[in-house]
Amino acid sequence: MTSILKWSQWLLSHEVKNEKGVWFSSLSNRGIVGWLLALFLSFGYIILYFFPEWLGLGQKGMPNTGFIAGFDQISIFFNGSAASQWFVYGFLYTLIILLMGIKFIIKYKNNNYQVIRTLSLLFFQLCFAFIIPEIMASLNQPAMDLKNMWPLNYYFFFDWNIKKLLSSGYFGLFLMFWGLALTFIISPVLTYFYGKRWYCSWVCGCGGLAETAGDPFRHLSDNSETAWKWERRIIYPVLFIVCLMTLSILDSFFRKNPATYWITFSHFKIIILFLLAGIIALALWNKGWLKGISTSGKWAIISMGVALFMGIIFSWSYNKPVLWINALKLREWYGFYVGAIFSGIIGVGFYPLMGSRVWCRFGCPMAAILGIQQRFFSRFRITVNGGQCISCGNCSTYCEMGIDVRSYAQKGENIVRSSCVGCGICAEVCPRGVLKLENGPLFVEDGKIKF
Amino acid sequence: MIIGFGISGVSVAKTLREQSNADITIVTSESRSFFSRPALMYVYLGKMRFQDILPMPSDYWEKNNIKVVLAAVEDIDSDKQQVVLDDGSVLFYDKLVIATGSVPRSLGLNEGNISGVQGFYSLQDLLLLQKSAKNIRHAAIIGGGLIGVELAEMFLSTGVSFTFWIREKWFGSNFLPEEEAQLVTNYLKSKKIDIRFEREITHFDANELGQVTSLHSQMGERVDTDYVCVCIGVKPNINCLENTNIHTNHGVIVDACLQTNIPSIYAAGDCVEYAEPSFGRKSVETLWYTGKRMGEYVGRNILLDQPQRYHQGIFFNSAKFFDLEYQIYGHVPVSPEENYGSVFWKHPQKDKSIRLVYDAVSNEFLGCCVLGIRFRQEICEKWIAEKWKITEVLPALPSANFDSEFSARFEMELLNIYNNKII
Repeated sequence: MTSILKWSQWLLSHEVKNEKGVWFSSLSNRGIVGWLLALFLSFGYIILYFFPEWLGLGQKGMPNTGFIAGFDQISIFFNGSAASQWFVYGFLYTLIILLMGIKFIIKYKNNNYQVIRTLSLLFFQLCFAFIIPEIMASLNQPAMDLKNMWPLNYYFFFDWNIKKLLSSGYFGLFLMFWGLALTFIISPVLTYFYGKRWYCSWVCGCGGLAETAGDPFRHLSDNSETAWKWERRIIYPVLFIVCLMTLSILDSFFRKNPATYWITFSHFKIIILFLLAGIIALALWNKGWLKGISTSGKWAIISMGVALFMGIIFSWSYNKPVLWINALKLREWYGFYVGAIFSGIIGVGFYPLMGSRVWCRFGCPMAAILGIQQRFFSRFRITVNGGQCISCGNCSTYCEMGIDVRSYAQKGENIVRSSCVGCGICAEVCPRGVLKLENGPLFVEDGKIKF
Repeated sequence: MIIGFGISGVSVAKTLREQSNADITIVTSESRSFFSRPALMYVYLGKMRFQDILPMPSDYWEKNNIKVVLAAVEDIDSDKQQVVLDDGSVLFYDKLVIATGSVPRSLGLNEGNISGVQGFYSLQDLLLLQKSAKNIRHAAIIGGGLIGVELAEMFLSTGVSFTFWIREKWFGSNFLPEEEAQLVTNYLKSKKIDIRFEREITHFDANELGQVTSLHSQMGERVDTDYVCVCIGVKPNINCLENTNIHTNHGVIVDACLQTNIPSIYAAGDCVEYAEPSFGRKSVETLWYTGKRMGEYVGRNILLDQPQRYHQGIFFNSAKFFDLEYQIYGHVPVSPEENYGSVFWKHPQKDKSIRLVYDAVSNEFLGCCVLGIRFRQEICEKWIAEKWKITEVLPALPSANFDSEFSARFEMELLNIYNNKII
């Protein structure tokens, strides 16, 4: 404990002083220190996920030793049992967000948006992600991070989670409905009014780490067109796969319990088909959706959607698992490649190499959904102030999502991009006050000023 | 053909390419890459790399069939419509745009011949400064303008000790009203910089190698200095036009359509001396925004038989002194004049101020300038263009605010100041 305190003190005093010349420091310039840190973090995740016994996790009921044992007392204080590797991870994760968050607040103390936003991140990490689930667990209730929603929380619709929630009385039922409301009602409404930033840079835990501990690495996000292309090529397939996985797991769940619950297997089938048909119809109806995609690409997407629709009907009519997918295999595969390798080992381990938002930018299915909403059904935008841009490039350099903000700003074009998490740093670093995050109605409309 | 690869020349090329397939050649002697000149300081600070300050992807020029020639112009022969370059080659043109920009002014103390005395303007200046920075024992910055403050920030961040020599009584008193100049001056003093006001440099001492060793001011001071940056402003760069028949005065003289005395030759940007400046504007305006506007105008009009008149638009400018941002819209006189009314508010503790200027007789809103606060350009321009009265502007002021969300707002204070003034 004392070593953690000492280390925190050093980190704070060291980081706050070091503001300038990110391209001169070996840590933030992909120098030797940066590479070493990347290796350290990546291996840390590998050990955490696959070899927790190396950290001293007690095997087969044996007490913890070494590193993990050092957290036993804290864990017993919170939930009454010895530390697991996940408790240690959650504890250190929260601690780092708190420390680096304080550093971030000091660095941007003159910008209220940054201060309030970071306080919100700290609050949600400390209370929602760490303390409240521990309290739930200590009361023998299912522990759940109340801000973590499907599809980022990809196991929400897994059979074991549903069974757990449905067998935990009214509290479990509340969690079930809260999770559904979060995904299907609260999130779309908030995203319409405020953009995806309400989640990605105000609430989310991954975002919390990226905004605080990841801040010294934000300029390492590649802002080339090629990177943008790969972003789209990876993030939407991940979203697609997570939907497919959820569908097949629910399918196998209902197959085993066709009429046990209020929603039956046939209800489920109808809901899914309506949802899919609705999305295809929307894509055809809303011309903006497929803008910028070539005609052949459009047809490929639409015919794929129709093929999917037909495939689902076929597999169900033959009474086979949906699309003949092996739900367990897919779940295992997703948990390993996306859950562990992508979001952890690469997502955090590569901070010093590819910037702080590797996972959020290329992998997160939640960001993908919120991004689609932000692009087409949201009032959020970054406004460009007339012709004031001097094309200096600070905005593009310091955009953690690798958006080439300057390419819009120098044309005087407002920025509406699906990937923007609304961190507001572009507006902060702009030396001419050109950018402002906004979600109100447009200020000048038909020559009239609106308030 | 365009001479000059700065914002003006590039704006010409970009705008022209959007509407025509004409052959476009850009001649430059500075760099094959188009970079943002105001961003050079960030490269020195390590906040960006050189590739980060390039506004367009490096393959833009090839993709858009714009040829970039790295050479200096020796002569322009407008009769034969040809340009002679220093590598001996000769290029022909149908239309020529002079966008040569500006060069730093000299103190007139023969400083060009003393080594260790330079300006901070071009890419070459940056490279030179980067090379010498490690060995500087004590530097001098001469000139209280924006570049001087940029240099102060650069030296401060890299731990170079320096003295900042300024001719005026307050920093910026030649382009800011007095209260604003005082505010900026106090802000700079709070950075613990050695600033000396009301100083003019009389001469430099150099050692036997021609290296600067110290400088003298008119107050009799002598300060040991082994590195001097002179940044007392810029003037149009018209050296390559000396022996041509293109008319020049301070800059290249152009008419209302930005055409020189020779019909197929245009000029844009810092090098221009505009014949018909509108009220309150200078004939030579060495600003990024003016260069961009002129460049875009020339790009649109150069191929037209009946070019439209160039409109200067409503004046605006912005700058940043360390972390203190400054914006100005419209006409804000430097010294108080009888015909102008002005509402000025200054934050009691922080470095923030707002000034609204209006016509004392007609009450028409003329312009505003802000420190530490951001205003919305569209709204300010609308008020000025539509001749809103100050009494209409004040209640509408919240709509002009462009600060980030949750920032403190000060519109009521301004309104109170105006009301107290009237009573």
